[in-house]
Amino acid sequence: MPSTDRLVVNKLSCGVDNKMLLRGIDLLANCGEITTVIGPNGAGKSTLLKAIAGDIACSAAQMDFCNQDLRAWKVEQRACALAVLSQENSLEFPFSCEEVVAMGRLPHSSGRKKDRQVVMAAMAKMDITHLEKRLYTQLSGGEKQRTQLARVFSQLWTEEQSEHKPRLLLLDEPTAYLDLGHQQQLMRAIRAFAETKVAVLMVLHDVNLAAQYSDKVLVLNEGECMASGETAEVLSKALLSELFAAELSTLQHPESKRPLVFI
Amino acid sequence: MLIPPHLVDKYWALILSLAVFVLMCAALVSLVHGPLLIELKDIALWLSGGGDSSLNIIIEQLRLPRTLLAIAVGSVLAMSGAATQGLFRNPLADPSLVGVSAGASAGAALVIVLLHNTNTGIWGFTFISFGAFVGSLAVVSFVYKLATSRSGTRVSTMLLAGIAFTFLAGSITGLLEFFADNDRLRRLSLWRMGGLETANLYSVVLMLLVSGICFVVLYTQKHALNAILLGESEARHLGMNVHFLKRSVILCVAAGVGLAVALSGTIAFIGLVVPHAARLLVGPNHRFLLPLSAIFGAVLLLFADTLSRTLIAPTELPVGLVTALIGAPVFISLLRNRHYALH
Repeated sequence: MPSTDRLVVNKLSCGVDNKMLLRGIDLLANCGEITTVIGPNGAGKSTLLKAIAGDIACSAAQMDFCNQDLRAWKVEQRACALAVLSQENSLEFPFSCEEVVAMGRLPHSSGRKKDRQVVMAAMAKMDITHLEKRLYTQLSGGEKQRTQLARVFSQLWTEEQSEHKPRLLLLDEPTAYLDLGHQQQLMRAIRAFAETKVAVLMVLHDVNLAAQYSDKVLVLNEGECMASGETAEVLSKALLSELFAAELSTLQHPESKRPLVFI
Repeated sequence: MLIPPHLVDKYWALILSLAVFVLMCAALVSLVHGPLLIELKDIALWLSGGGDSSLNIIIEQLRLPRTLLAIAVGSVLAMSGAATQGLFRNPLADPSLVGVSAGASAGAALVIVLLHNTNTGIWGFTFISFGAFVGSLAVVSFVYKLATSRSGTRVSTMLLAGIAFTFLAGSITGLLEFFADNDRLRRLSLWRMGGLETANLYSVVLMLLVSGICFVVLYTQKHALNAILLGESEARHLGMNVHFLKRSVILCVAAGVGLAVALSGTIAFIGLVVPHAARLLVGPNHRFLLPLSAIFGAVLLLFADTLSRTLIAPTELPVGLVTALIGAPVFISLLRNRHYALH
C-alpha cells in the first residue's frame, strides 16, 4: 500500500485580474523527498508556493496533505506542520539573530528549555551560531537569508525519531544570496531534514542545483505544467532548451549520474 | 541598542522595577509641584490619614486626579504608538495616522462652534469630550471599513485611508473655524493644545480603566506583534491570527487614544517618541517594549505636565505644547545617535 504521507494537489488554478497565473497544476510531493519547481521567470513558481501556503486565493480540485484538506486546517494547526520561506524578507526592526530564529518556535508550546535547544541546533545547522547576538538589521544579505532559513527549520524541528510526524516545508529560492559553500551546506541540511519525514517543495533558479539535489522535478512554463517526474528523466536537453528558449547542452555527472546543464 | 537582548531577558525584572521606581518618583514630583507648594511630608501625612484638611482637599481633588490622568493618558498614548508601529511595520507610524486625532479635533470643533453651553456636561464630562470621542471613533471606523474587504484588511490601504480622512476631518475643522467667532476660535485652539486640568474622579477612573484594558489586550498579542514584523504572511505561517491582531490593535487605539484626546486634547509626540526611546533601550521585542513604553509615556507626560504648571506659574501652559517642545529635541538627538544610525 502506498504511503499517504504526501502532498497531493489536483487541478490548481489561480489568477489575478482576469489573468491566469496557474492553470490546472497537478503536483505530488512525498514526505522524505525533495521536490523542486523550476521554470523561467514569470512561470508561476512563486505563485504556486504561495497558493499552497494559503497566501493567495486559488481554486483546486484537491489540495491534501496526508489525506487532509490543507485549506481546512486551522492556522495554529497548520503552523506546526507547515513552514514557509518566502522570497521577500522585510524585517526592518533590530531583533537579534537569535530572536528571529526563536520566532520559529512561536506555534509550539514546547517550553523554554526545549525551544532554546532547537534554536541553537537550527542555528548551528545554518552556520550562524557566531551571529547569535548580532542585530538582524546589521547582517549581510546571505546572513539574513541563513537566519530566515534557521527560523523556518526551527519551526519544523524534531529531535527524536518518534516525533517525526509528516511535515511540509515550502522554500522559495532558499539559495538566494548564499555563497557556494553555504549553498552546499544548505542543500545537505535540506536533504537531512527531508529524511525526517518532511516533504520539501522548493523553487530553485539554478537548474544544476535542482538536478543534483532533487528527487522529483516539476517544470512550469507560463502557468502550466510542462513535465514532472524523476529528476534524471525530466531534465533532458530538449526540454530545457525549449523551456528557457536557449541553446543548452547537458552532460551526465561522472559520479551521481545526474544531468549537468551548460549555458 | 543599549541593552543587548539576552541581558534584557535576564534582567527584565530589574529593568521593570527601575522603570516603575522612576514612574513613582515622577508621580511624587507631580503631586508636590503647583501653585501651592506641598511638601513631601504633607503627602506622607495624607497617606497615613492625618494632615491639614485643606491641603488634603487640594491633594485629593486637584493634584491626585491630575497626576493619575497624566499617567493613564501618557501610557495609553505611548503603548498605542508602539502597537501601531508594530502593526504598520513602520517605526514612524503614530496613532494619529489612522485619523484618531483629526477625528477628535473635528468632533470637538463641531461641539464648540455649533453648540451653546459647551462647558456643561454630565458625569464630569463636557460635551466637548463627547464630541471628540465620537469624532475619533467615527473616523477610525471609516478608515478601517475602507481598508477591509472580503480578503481581509490591507494595512497599506489603511495608511492611505487614514491620510485621506485626516485631510477630510481637517477641512471640516477648518471650515468650522472659518465661521467661528473669536471666543470660540480661542476655545478651540486652546482645546487642541491639550491640557489635563479638567481631571476629575469620573474621567480618571474611566481613563485608567480603558488604559488598563488596552494594555492587557495589547500585551496578550505581544507574540503576534513580534511575528507581524517579519511580514503578514510570515506571521500567519507562524500560526498567528493576523485578522484578530489588526482588529484588536485598531480597537485599542481608537478607544484608548480617542478617549485620551477627548479628555486632554491632542498631545503630540508621545506616541511617536516614547516607543522609539524604549526600543533603543530594550529592542523591538513587544514583550519588553509594550510595558516599558507605557511606563515611559506616563513619565514623560507627568514631567511635561509638571513643567507646564510651574514654568510660568501661576499661568499654565498647554501640556501638548510642552510635550512637543521636549519631544522634538529628544527625537532629533535620537536621530543623531550612533546606535540609531546603525539600524
